[in-house]
This record gives sequence, structure tokens and C-alpha cells, in this order.
Amino acid sequence: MNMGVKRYVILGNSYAGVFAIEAIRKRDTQGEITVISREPYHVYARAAIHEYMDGAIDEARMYYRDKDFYDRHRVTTLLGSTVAGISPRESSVVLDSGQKVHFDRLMISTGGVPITPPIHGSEGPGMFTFTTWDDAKTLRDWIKGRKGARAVVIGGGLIGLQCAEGLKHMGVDVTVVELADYVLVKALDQIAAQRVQGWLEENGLRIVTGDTVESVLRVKGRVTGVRLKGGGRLKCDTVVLSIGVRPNTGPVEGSGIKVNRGIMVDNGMQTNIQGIFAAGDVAEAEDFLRKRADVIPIIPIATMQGKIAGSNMAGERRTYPGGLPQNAFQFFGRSVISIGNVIFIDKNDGFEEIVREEGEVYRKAVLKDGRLVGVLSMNYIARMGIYNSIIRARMDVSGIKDRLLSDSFGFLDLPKTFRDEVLTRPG
Amino acid sequence: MKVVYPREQWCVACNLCEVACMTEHSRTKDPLKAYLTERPRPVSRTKVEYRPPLAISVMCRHCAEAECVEACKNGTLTRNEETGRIELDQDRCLGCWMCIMACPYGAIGQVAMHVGGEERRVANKCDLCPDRDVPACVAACPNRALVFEDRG
Amino acid sequence: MLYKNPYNNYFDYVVQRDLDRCIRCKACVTQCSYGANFYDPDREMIYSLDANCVGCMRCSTFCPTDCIRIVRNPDAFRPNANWKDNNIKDLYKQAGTGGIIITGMGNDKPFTNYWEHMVIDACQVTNPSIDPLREPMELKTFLGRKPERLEIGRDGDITTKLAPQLVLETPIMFSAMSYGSINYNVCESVARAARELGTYWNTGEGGLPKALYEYGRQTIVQCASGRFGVSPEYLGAGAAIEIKIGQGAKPGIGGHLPGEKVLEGISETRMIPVGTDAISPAPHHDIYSIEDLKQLIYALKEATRYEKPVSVKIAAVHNVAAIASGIARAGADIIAVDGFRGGTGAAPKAIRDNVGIPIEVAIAAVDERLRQEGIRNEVSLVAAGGFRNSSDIVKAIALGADAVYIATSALMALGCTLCQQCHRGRCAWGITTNDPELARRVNPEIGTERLVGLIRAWSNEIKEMLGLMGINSIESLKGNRDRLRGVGLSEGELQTLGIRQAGT
Repeated sequence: MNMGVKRYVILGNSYAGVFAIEAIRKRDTQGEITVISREPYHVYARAAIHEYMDGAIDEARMYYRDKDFYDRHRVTTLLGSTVAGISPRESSVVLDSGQKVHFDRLMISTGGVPITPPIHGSEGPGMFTFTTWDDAKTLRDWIKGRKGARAVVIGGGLIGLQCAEGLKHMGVDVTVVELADYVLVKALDQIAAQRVQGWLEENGLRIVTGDTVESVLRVKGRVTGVRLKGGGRLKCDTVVLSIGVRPNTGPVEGSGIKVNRGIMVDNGMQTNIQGIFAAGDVAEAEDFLRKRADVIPIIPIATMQGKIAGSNMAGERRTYPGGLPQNAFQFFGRSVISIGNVIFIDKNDGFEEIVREEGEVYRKAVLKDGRLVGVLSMNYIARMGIYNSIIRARMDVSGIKDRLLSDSFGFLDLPKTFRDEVLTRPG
Repeated sequence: MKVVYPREQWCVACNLCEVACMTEHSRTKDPLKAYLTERPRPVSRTKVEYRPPLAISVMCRHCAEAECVEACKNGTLTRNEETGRIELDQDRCLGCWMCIMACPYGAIGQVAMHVGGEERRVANKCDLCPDRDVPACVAACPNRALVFEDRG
Repeated sequence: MLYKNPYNNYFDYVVQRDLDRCIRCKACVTQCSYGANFYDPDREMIYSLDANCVGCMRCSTFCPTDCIRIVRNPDAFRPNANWKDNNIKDLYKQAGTGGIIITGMGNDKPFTNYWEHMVIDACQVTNPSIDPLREPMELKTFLGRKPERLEIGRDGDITTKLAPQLVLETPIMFSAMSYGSINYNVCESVARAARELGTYWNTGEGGLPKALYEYGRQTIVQCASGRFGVSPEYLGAGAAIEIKIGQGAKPGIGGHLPGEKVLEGISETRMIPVGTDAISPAPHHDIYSIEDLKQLIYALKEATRYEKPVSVKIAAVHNVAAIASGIARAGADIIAVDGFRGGTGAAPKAIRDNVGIPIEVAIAAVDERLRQEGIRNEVSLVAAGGFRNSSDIVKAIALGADAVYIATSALMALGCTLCQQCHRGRCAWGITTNDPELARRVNPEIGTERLVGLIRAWSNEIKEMLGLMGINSIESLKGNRDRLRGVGLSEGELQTLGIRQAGT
């Protein structure tokens, strides 16, 4: 060790990494921090690539932190560098270039990679994935080069639909093919999903559900369409594969770091090897509601894990409180927020649903044994975060069921003790 | 760090904090014009909850570890290391509402903003009135139901 | 007037709203506790039901764009010097209800206000005035029985045994207002202000809430005909005890706190069940003579080991001088006299406006009588009932009062606009109401500051006036009627007040 100066190495340059850096620097002003990323960019808003693609936002708004973020935090960046392997024994990371980077503390936050099952005809031009800025640029340039483009998006999850909306804004004729009976099957219940589907269809997208692409059809190497398992054919010149993302555990292969679905971590975000941590979409950590480990690839969990990991790398002892799945998204100007469990409901197991439907507004709360465990709201999202605190507090809401989903729901509906606790102390 | 705290036992539900906030964050700084003629109309960043006999005005706590900052997609929300304040750069905001989802106080709202002839909705929250010694809502409260204090 | 009896629809005020200036903030809607302002979501406008307006001005003071004016209803009956508007409206109201008209606060009729017919003397040339900013000026006041003579020991100490005294830093105390008629926040404001000012407040007949026992040393605890809240602890907690015989706003009648105002805290403090009417009988049922009164005075002194002065409060009535003499002889240390402009939380209007006499003449009559009888030193005289400013107080002391009680002025410092709706329990200023939503409107932090501000201001003015009279101690002003002159008074009035015509 270099005169007691700790060497921190962070793999990946995104949400978890930024929060780890901030947490480390708050506690250790001397340590050396190195960020290694295979992408060449300054840290950017990965979750906004669809808006970048269709021109809704410019490059300036894509950067997640100021250009001088790394300088201010005295971070060495090795951007555009791919990790070949990790050697816990030598406490080093080996890059493709052969360069070795030694660490005292390592955080792996390499995110996710798109799942690309073998599909006949998928090799060759006209085939895209959609998880990185480069993906967005490549797809944008491809579309810009052709008039009357027609695209098939395979997968009706959030990324697929966002990509589809972006393409639509660019004038592309888009069809989404989703294997399940409805879109956003992992995020929403059927009623909500069908409403979203309605919004998309109103805006000229075609959605095919209960089917999938069997092969990509090509003539002289050029994509001409896809054939569906159900037998149908769709004419197109562009195919986007977005059936899902899996943790990018490639860099830890052979290192002895334990992987289940993602890299397994304890409640301090440390892997089975001391000094090596993991955070973000690559990590498999405790789920707050289900109390078992899972990968929950969302921004607030990545940043919180990065913060906890960074603090612990710098010598503090902080405990991860467990991740609560949640998401906020929009399609064609209409909003959805879902927090907690709004899908897995077994009425024989103490679950109860409260639903409020009024015109465009659809709201649902899920209670388990009287406690709030999930909320979903469409087209009325004001003050939704309050439910976040209620779920986190494992509060019994059985006495306020009639108020729970009203537009004016707020702190005055909650116990005075809770209000005093939450509103009279520093946040 | 000093932030605004509500004192529920003295809130009289007069809504003057909301009027002051809307006015302070208007172009004209005049309540009449702010409400009647400015378009888009400025929106208060504090919210008076009123359920007789109770009332309380709730706004951003400027949390030490702010969940809005942790949820923000593109760095629109950041913590100013010098002041400790949570700052929201409306010009950067994507309107993804991750912050609305994350804020445990329900303290982030929406406001319309004109950008190049287009109207866009962006997040809106308390900035502690950087141009004033005491935030407008606190100054306007007739019953000291809002206080600007450092509670550590 | 839909659904209303036309005879009852002659309302007093009109809420004028300049809709060009209304920003729909709804401050006026939430602040009106009488339902006079409402928001119509269909038209996105705020409107008013003028008939509900009591003229309390809460809405107009809260309007952030000053778009509201509360004006007298210009609807005019044919002018009639005999039948004034209120005569006509009261008559209609009673014909409709068959009931006694109840009202709040003090007599508002245009009786002669003698303060406005008395002027104060000042020094010129031959005796120098004193600048209170440069010279010490003493407002300290002692209330209680004073010895006939003082014996001084060889070491210079007083050897005469002195009766217990209340020590006031300024000759102004807060008059009796019961917990229940005013809410806890108002009580706390008054108690805190009394402590900060070095003066006293008075519980009225509602008892002393446990949480206010810490202000006991600044508290005069009342023992009234209903005996509400009276216990050994209560008597022990106060600095003095006051037997309430009468009240200026309603001499000769009792009090009635309706059951709906008797909530948890009030029930505990008054020692009566929640929701029961608290009825104070018109007389004390154990007092039918001066001798009976003496028994109660000494019972209370006995109960508190002769450590606390006992005050007896009466309404100023025709025979006030003789009654005061009897009270002095019954052993009271302080006599409080309440004139007919004194306020109330509820009184029949006919009584409030027609029974009793002005405090100005009562002070003069009582002081004169006690002097004549040679017992002026045996009691202190506290005057109450309608003091509006420092000059009223200076004149009262010059007429012969030792100190004054204020209550209406104190409530005005907390926001009261004299709308006279106290009896309805819906006070929009949060004073005479126990509704938790309305009571919140008085924040005791602010209330205390404002009361302290008012009394400080008046005390400073009193010092200024003492200075210009060449007096450096309030003690030297007491009964010093030579420093007053009358303007525009009849010979009889001048004689009763014991003052000379201005210019003589």
C-alpha cells in the first residue's frame, strides 16, 4: 500500500459509480480513485437514450454530471477500456490491453447487457440492441439514412416500448412484438398495461402480443421482414432486439466472485471476497419487500447501492436497507408511476387490492396484512413519493383505505406520530 | 443547514405560503400578475394540506442524502456541496418524474415552462429562495407555522 | 333571500370583492369561520354570502392582493332618530326567534365617555417637568392593605408587619377571562406576557389549566359563584385570590358556558363533566350580606395561611361607593370595580347596554368614599372596564385607582376586531373559540410578544405623561385629581368626578 493511501477501483461508469465516488470522497480525501469503463463517454444518462435518439434532448442534457466531475473528485478515468479479468489474489484488474490496475477496494458496477437469443437471420445489418448511447446513435443514424423506415421491436418491456416511441417520433412505422399477453408484463398489471397499450396504439404504434419473432427475413443480406412464431409476417427494414437485460457478470468470470443471477453481495454490498463490492444492475442484493436477494435494475437502487458500497469501501459500516422496486415512465406525454409490488397478489395470502378508476386516472394500492406494499398510478402522479415512505415504514394503512388513493391524500391522513417524526426533523 | 420546517399546530390554512412561493418564483414578482397574466403560470413549491381541523404546509427538506437526487435520470437534481441545498436545474429536466416517485415528502411538483416556443413540463421544488434572507413562504406566514431553522 | 325569512334578512355587511384582483388563493374562504366566503369550482370564482358576514375583517386582512372590502350594507331604512337600525333589526330578530338577544364584548352605546372630557395638566416654568428618558421614572405598584403607619427599627428596616402585597412593574393587569370563554392559547399568551412584564393575569371563573400552574406566581385565581375549578391546589397556585361578585358587562346576572364549549381540557380544569353546561349563578348562594362576604374572604385567607391578598370584584352600579366600603370593612385587600364598558364572552344585549355605570364615575365615587371613611389605605382599588389607551389609565389613576385591569384591549392585541360574536364560539381570530382549527390562530409566541409590546408602549406613554406633570412616580399620581380638568361637563358631573372645570 502506498503510504496508507487507499486505491479504489470502480468498474463501470454510470449511476452506481458516481454515487460511490461521491461517498468515498466524502470520507477519504486522499485515496486514489480509478474508474474503468468500456464506453468512451463521460458519465451519461443511460436511461434517456431514447429521448436522445429522437432529438427530444441534446447532448448537453445527456451528461449525468458536469464535465469537471472527475477532476473535482480527483478520479483517474480509463474510458474505452475493457476488463479482461479480475485477480482477487493479486488485488488487480487486468485490462484487454494487458495493463494491470491494482486496488485495495474494488467496486464492480458493470451494469447489464442485452439478452440476445439466437434468432435465425439476426446476423448482419439492420439488427440493433438498445441499451447504450452508442446503440442510440447507431440506430438514429441508420434511421436517418432511409425514408419510410419500418421497424419491428422485439420485446414490449420498458426499453422496447421507449425505443419504439422514439422511433415513432422519428417518423418510423413501428410494430412491437411481445411474447406475453400484454406489454410491460414485469412492471404493470393487466389493466394498466392495456391502458398503456391503448396510448401507444392511439399514437400509431402497432402492438402484437402473444407472439414472437422466429426469424429475421433477409434478401441479399438486407432485412425485409420478420416471421412470427404464430405464422404471420411483418414487413420491415429494421429490427430492434430488446427482450431484456441480464447482469453483465462477464468481467468476474473465473475470479472466484460468486454469481447467482447477478453478483451476490451482503448487506454492506460486499461480495464473497473481502474488499470487492458490487452495485447497480449487476448486483444481486436484498429485496426490501420479499426479503430475498434479487437483481432490481433501476436508478434509485443503483445509486443507493453505489453510495453504500462507496461508504463501506472508505471504511464506514453502512447497511443496505433493501431495494424497493419502483419506476416512473411516460408514453406520449402520459405518466405512470409504480412503487413496490403491484403484480404478485395472492388474495389467499393476506393481499388486498384497492382500485380507483376515474376516466384517464387509474390508481391501485396493494396491501399485505393491512400494510401497504405497492402503489400504481396512471395519469395522476402528484406526491407519489409519500407512498414510498409509507411502504418503507411498513405502515398499517387498513384504517385509511378510503383515503389512500384520493387526490388529496397526504401527511394529514397519516398518524400524527409519523408526521412529527418525518416532518420536524432534518431530511 | 437551515431549511423550512412546518409547525402543524400553528398552521391556519390561509395558503399565503403558496401565494408567496408562486409570487417569488414568478417573473414579475407580483401576485396579481403572476396568477392572472403570466403564462405559463408559476406554481407554488410548497403544498398546503388542509383536512379540517388540520392543516400543514409541506415542502422540500433538502435531505442530506436526497432520494430525488438518487432517482434523477440525468443529474437535473444535485446537492450543492457548499450550501447543502438540493438544486434542481429546470433547463436540464427531462420530465421523467423519477423524483416525484422518490421524494418521501411528496415535495416535488410539476410546472410548465416555455422553451423555444414549446411548452414543456418540468419538475418544481423549493429552492429556499436564493435571492432572499428568509424564504418567501416563511416571511408570508402570519402565524409562524413555517420556520427557517437549522435543526442539525 | 331564498329560504330565508324576509324579516331576518337585513344583514349588516357586504363583502365587496374586486374580481379583477382575485387570485383564487382561497385565503378568505378558509379564514372565514362564519361561511361568508366560498369557492365555486364550476366558475372558478370566489363569492360571498353577505348575510353571514359579521364584519370581523379576518378575510380582508388575509387577502394577499387586497381585493376585499368589508363595507356596511348600504341598504337603508328610512332615517329615524328614534328607531335606529339596530333597534329595528333587533326587533325583527326577536319577533322571529322569541329569544333574548345575546351578544359579546362591552357596551357599544354612545354614552358619555368621561375620559374624553378630562384633560391632563402639565408643568410650565414654575415647576419643571421631568424627562423620562433621562430621569428614573417609577411605575412600580403595590396592591394590598397598607398599614396606618410604619415603624422603622434602629437598623432602618421596617418593623411593622405588612399585609401580603402584589407587586406590579406597571399599573396594568390582565383582567379575568375564563379558560373556556377564551381558549388555552389565549390563556397562555396572557400568562406568559404577565410574567415577562412583571404583572398579573386573572383566571376568571374557569380555573387554572394544569399546564399553566408554572405561571402561578403571576396569576390571580378567581373564586366565582359557580366555584368552577376551585381546589386547595388552585388557591395555593395563585399569587392572589379574587372573589367575583359581579362583572361590568352584565351586573346582577350569572354566567353560562354552553356544554358544547366544555371540551376535555376545560372539563378537567373546571372539574365538571365534558359537555355539561357550566352555569354560574347570579349571586353566590352563600353570600347575602357583608358578613357572609367576610366569612368567604377569611375562609380563603385561612386556606392560604394569610399569605395572599384577597380581592373582591364587583360591577360598577349605582351604589358602588357604599358597597366598596362594605367590602373593605369585610377584610378584602383589593377591590376591583368593573365599569359598564367592560367586555364579556356572552351577555344579553339589553343588560350589557343598559345596566351599570361608567368606570370613571365609579372610581371617583369609591375613592372619595373610602377617603371620607378613613379606610382608603386598607384596600387597593383596581379599575376595569374599557381602558383603550395609556391616557385613559393615567386619568383613572389620577381619579383614585391604584391600578387597572384590561381585557378587551388585550384581546385586541391578539387580533380581536370587536365583532361581538364571542358567544357563538366561532371567533375567526381564534380567541373566543375552542374549535381546535380556529384556536390555532393564536400562536402564544406571537400573542405574548404583542401583549408585551402593547403594555410596554402604554407604560412608556404613562412615564411620558408623569414626566410632563413633573411627577417621577406613579404613586404620586394616585388620587391626584388636581392634575385633571373637565371639558364640556355639567356642574354635577364635575362634582361627581371630583374635578374642576378646565380654565379654573
